[in-house]
Amino acid sequence: MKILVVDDERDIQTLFEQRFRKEIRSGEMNFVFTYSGEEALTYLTQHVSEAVLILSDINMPGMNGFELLKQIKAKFESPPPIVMMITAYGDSENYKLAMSLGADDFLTKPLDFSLLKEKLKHITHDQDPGS
Amino acid sequence: MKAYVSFAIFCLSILLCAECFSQDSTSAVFQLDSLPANGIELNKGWKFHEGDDTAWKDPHFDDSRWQKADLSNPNSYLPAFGKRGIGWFRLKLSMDSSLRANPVALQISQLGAIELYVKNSLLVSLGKMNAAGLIQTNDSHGKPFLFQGNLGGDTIILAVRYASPVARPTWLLTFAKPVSLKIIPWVNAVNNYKAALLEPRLRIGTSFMAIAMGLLFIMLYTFFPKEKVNLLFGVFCLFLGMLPVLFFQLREGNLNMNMFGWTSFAVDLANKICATLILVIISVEVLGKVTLFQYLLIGFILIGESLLFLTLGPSKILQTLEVIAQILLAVELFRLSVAAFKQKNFIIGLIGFGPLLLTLAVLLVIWKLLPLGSARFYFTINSFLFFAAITIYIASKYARKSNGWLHQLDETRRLAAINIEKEKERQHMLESQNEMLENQVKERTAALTESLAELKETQSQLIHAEKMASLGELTAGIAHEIQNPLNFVNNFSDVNAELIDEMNEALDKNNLGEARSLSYDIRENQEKISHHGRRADSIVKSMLQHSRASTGQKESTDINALADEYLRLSYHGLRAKDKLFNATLITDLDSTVGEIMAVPQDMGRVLLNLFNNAFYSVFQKKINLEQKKATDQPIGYEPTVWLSTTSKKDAVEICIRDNGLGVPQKILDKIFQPFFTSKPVGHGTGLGLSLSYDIVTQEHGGTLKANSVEGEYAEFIITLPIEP
Repeated sequence: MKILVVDDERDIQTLFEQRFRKEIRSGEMNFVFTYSGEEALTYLTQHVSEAVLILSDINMPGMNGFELLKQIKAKFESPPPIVMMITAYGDSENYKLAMSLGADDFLTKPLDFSLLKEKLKHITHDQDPGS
Repeated sequence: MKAYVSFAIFCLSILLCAECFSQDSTSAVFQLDSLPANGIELNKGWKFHEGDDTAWKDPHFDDSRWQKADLSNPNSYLPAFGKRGIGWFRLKLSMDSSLRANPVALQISQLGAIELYVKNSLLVSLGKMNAAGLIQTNDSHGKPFLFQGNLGGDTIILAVRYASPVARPTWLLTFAKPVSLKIIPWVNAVNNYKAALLEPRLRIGTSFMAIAMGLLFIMLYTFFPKEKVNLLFGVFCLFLGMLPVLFFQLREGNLNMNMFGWTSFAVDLANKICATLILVIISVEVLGKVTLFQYLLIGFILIGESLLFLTLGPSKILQTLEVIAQILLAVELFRLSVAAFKQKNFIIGLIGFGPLLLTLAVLLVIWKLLPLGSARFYFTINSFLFFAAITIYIASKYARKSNGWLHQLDETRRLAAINIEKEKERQHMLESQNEMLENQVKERTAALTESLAELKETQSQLIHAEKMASLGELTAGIAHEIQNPLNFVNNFSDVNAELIDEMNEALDKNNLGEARSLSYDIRENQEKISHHGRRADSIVKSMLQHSRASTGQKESTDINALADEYLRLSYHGLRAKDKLFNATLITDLDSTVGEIMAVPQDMGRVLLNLFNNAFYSVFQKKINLEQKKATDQPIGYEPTVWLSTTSKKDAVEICIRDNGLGVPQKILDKIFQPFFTSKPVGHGTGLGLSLSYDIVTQEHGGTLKANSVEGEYAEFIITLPIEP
């Protein structure tokens, strides 16, 4: 499964690559990293329907996570990718807003990778019962 | 005017009547019946012939064909005088027997030389003459010559040989009668003669007085050039004084008739001027002007009479007119004197009376009520009065003037004293007012000083509050800032923990390659942990810096780093406050901008403030637009904040620009004022820009400028000198 990660912190890439070392090696997961909302949209436009899951930070300069969420939900409907928001702001207001904008899930930083892995497993099972 | 005219006519008639008392002019014999005390003039009944012949002294000579002559009227014989100017007069004198008893005298006065023959013998000889004419004149001054009445019978023939001085025109001779004989009782004649002898002395005395007066007046004039009247009087008096002397000198000795005549004329005129001058002075004093009547009168007296005399000679008409004029003058003076007395101007009144008295005397003489000698006396008195009057007049005028001046001086002194008093009063008042005002000012200043102290206290409190508030804003942002590094520290630590387990597993399996590969990963992660740890550390440090009170110490500061840091601080701080807050950050940092001497905390506060304002502005604009829009269409507004640094000559420029609400032109110059804010109450102290301005300009010696278009953008440019 192709996962698009959107976060302005570059070290996120290293972290994900370390944490999903096994999954990347096994080819179970495939990560693409973009560092801004605009980059993410560009990628999605260029690689339509490739990413099935988008993990996006909310706090980003320029287009923030919510904006990106709106854009994704507006522009990429078939099939609609799953979007999970990752953010340091873990309060209920942010959660409500994310949900209202159509986010599929809401994760808080610092990332709990085991939890993340759990959620991703469910998705892969949902997405592709065969694999 | 009516009164004058009637008066004049009255006088004229009296004069004409007076004439009637004289002898009948037609009789050939001069009949002397009675002899009045003042004598009788032998004027009528003479026969005259021009020329010279000794035969004519004979009493028996037949003079019936000779022309008649009236000695009192020179015109009756003078024209007939020939070139030589010698002529003979003959008179038949018949004296009454009653007169023969008492001694009788002949008084002769003449201009020229005279020889009186009675009964063919020379009785009286005055002056010198020869066949050619007059040699020398001799004025007898009225010396009486004893005339024996009983010289042979009742009728006596008087033969007079007369040599006249030559004069052109002949009327010059008429100032004094060329020939005049008088019969007078001896005793009276002697008395008259004695009086007459005194006369020159009197005259000379008067002259000297006049000259002295004249000099005095001229001296006065030199002291007071303003009073021109002094000069006038001086010159006139001198003239008046010198003329008679000249006149009487001319009468003696060799007579230059022309000069004599003209001098006599001048003396006469001078006397007239005297009288008219008095009139003018008095009129000016009493009435303040000269009336038309007076002008006419003066004109007649001075000009009219002179012209008449020059053309007609001494005629009865002229004499009459002269008397009338004099009477009119006297009456006018009388009128003015009375008016002067009414005005309490006694001096002027007295002056006016002088000529009046003289006129009266003249009239009395004409009416033969006064002897001629006394008339002379009155004339002298008049002259004296004239001078006295003028002197008194001028003296009184001066006295009045100086009194006036003294009075004015006193007034002035008094007013000056009053003025000084008032000035002193005013001074006192001003001083007391000043004191009062001073006290008031002191009180108010004290009150103001108190208020000022209070306000300063409040202001520092507010600044402190502002700093605290900005610090509060920071903490949220900083807290968030720390989260990210901490996130990585924890995660990478966890990852490393897993990797170490895997490494151990690999080592257990003796998979060295795998183990080494893993160790590289571990090392990489370790570096990241260190990096992010240090990052968190620096964030905390900078937060501590902010909370520390600024020391004002300048340090070498990396402007780009400072600006970037605070940009992010501001951004995260605001995002922490408001979840929906979002904006695009565009940075353009000039790499040639290095380090400059600055107080990092304070500069950071400035940048933070500007960033906060920028973010707030763009966020507000977005909210406004979203509220206004009708549909769910995207508003197309991208809230953006630009940060750019530029290296300039001797300075560094930091530009912070946003596309938010902008600032209206009207308040653009006010935004740096303390407590000026566009935010609602409770959302800002209004001190941010004011503090920022002070920090940039006063602490760092730079400039802070704002540009804006309302609704479009706002731009703040900080310029910091490299050399502070």
